[in-house]
Amino acid sequence: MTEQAPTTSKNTGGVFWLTILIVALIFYFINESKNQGAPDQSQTISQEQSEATAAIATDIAPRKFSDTPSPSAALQIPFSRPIMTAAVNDLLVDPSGTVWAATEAGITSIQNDQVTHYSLAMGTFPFVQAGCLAHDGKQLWVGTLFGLCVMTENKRFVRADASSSLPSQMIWDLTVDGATLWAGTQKGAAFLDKNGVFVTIDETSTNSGLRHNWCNRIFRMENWFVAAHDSGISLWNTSFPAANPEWWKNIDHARAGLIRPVTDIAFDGKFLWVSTPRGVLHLTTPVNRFFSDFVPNLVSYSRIHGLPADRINSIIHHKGSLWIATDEGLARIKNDSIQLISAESGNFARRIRKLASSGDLLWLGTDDAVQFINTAMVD
Amino acid sequence: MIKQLYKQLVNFARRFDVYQLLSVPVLLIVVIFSTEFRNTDIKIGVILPLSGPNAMRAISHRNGLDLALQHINAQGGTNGRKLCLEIRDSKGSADLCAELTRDLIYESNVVSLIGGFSPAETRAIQHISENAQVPFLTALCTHFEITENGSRYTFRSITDDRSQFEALAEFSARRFNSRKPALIYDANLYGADSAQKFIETSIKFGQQVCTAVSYRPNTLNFRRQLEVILASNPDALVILTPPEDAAIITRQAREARFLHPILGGNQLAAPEFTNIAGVYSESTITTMPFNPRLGGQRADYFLSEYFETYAVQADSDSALGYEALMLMALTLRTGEASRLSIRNSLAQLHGWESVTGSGGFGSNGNQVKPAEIAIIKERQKIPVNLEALF
Repeated sequence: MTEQAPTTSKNTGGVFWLTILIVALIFYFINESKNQGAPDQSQTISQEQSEATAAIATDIAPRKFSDTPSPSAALQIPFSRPIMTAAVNDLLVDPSGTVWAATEAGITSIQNDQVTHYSLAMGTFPFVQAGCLAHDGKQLWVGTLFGLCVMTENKRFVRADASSSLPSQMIWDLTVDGATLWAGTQKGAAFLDKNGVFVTIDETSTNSGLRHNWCNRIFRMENWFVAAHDSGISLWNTSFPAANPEWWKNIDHARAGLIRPVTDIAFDGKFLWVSTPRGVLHLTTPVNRFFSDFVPNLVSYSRIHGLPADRINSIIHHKGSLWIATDEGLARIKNDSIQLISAESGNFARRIRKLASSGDLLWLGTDDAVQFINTAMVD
Repeated sequence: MIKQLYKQLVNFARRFDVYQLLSVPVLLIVVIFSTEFRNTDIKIGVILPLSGPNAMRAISHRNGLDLALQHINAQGGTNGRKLCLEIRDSKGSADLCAELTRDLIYESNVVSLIGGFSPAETRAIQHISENAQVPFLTALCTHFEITENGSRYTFRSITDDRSQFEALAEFSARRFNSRKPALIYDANLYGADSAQKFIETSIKFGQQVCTAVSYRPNTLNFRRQLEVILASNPDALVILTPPEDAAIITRQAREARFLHPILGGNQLAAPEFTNIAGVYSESTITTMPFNPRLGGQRADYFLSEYFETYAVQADSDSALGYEALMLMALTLRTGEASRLSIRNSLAQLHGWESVTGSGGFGSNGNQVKPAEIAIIKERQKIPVNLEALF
């Protein structure tokens, strides 16, 4: 009797411990599933596209700059169903048609009907946030506040080797001029040379041609490089050496009434436009006369001229129109007229942080989603 | 003895199967990795120039924040969770400020930020916090642009330059019948845009700024600037500079027999101004961010506690620091400790009572309280409405 007891307890103990192990594993998997707060790897958007193209726009007459704003005067068109993301910092449509969104949680790509999220938590993106995007025709570059990333041929994001040659790892903006990558950082701008090393353009190297090192927005148009910074806007004619401050033109924020920060820059083929927290500013000197007759005169368009809000977050020139993203919705400037755009129905975040265009589609990045509209409907 | 103990242990172990023995470490590992051993303290980031030319004011502000932290946590924190300040030294550099802000937001995961001093530093913090949707409260930066740029996550608990300029222009016009003030400003703390703002503001009160001059950083001799100012024959001098520079300018202006009123913003309310200017600070007009009389018993308690803790008198910077953390605690008490909830609670704080008196945020997150004017008498700041009593 005494020898049988351990055997019995051994069996019952085994069941007991196995039960505990199973319970623990269940607990572990439940906990793991809770931690996976990131959105699903993929979701379909074909439905949104069909909705967008099937709807019909209700046309109304656009208003001139001088007209008083009225919410009822907005043109209502269908917006696609939002594709949920973290707050969008930048949008880009690459040559293959894939839409890339740099967000506060990493990167989101939208290709055909597939949405893919890349983040540090999932181990698919090296940094916790992404701030800006550029595509040089071969590779996708991602600027973050922690360094520069590049997407490799096997579709993986890795820290770029060239990142170490940047003047600062805090990258605020990226742009591509043909095949040259430009970066605006906390401590100056830079461009990538043929050897894969960034060449720095800062206050020192330009002999104060560039008036401030914190380049939070950069832009390329014709043979000019534009940097918006904490002291205003600096423009460099890239046909001449950057070290000579004579080849730089500057717009001082205090003298020109430029409210900081400049949130975006656009070029309509003739004039330079900048978006600010106090409206859209139009530089009256045509770009082709910058060299000879540069006058830092800015004309402002804001809420009193019919824009939905003063705070402009993004501006883009697309098919002869300027599209303006504000805290209170979307607007278009075409032929000196402002047209407010609102959603016909469904979800629409009024606060648009970034715009990008591709074909007839205008992509909108908001606080929590990416959406698009068909601009052909507005016309 | 040990051998016997070992035998007993082996016998005990033999009672179990291998899987039974293995299940114990497996269970332990699972529990360890499943449980979140995170700190439950609510982390608030603080970025101040604790070293460099503005260190004294920043340290005073930090002391105020620390005292508020002690008081809040002594009461059990907010909603049962203690507050924790992640304090960083920006050394007066906007670039470093940006890096510290980035690290606090993305690595330390703070729920909100307090700090900023110069406009450049404050803009750097603001830019990143707005993008990352993290509430940011400044109680030291008075530059008007900070809350006029459509920001959604930025709040300011100190009266801004616009209100201060209005109060100074109105007071000088009414009290001294000043019509032709001169202006001297620095490039860093105020800048040309603030000077322009003062010129615009003074026009509303029938004044015309006769001359506005700036100077290079680290200037000690302001003779040239004062010569330009005196040549324009002004009837008042407005100084928009850091307190140390303002003290030197005041001394040199008085030594050059400038007998008209000298006025300045909240920088002149800093102890450094009266310490360096000495008797020359007498009768200077300044704005007063902290008037203990308005704070009532709260201010009395704060002043006594501050003196007990730090063995020095509290000044406006420390009072504003104390107030800033108390406001954060107030928002945390009303909602959850998330960034969006704090932002929404701050946006709804249209009125409060604190050590500095009544206050509130306007629709743009700016302090709505009008600036109070004080006159310096025997190195003490006397509110002008109480001047007759002294």
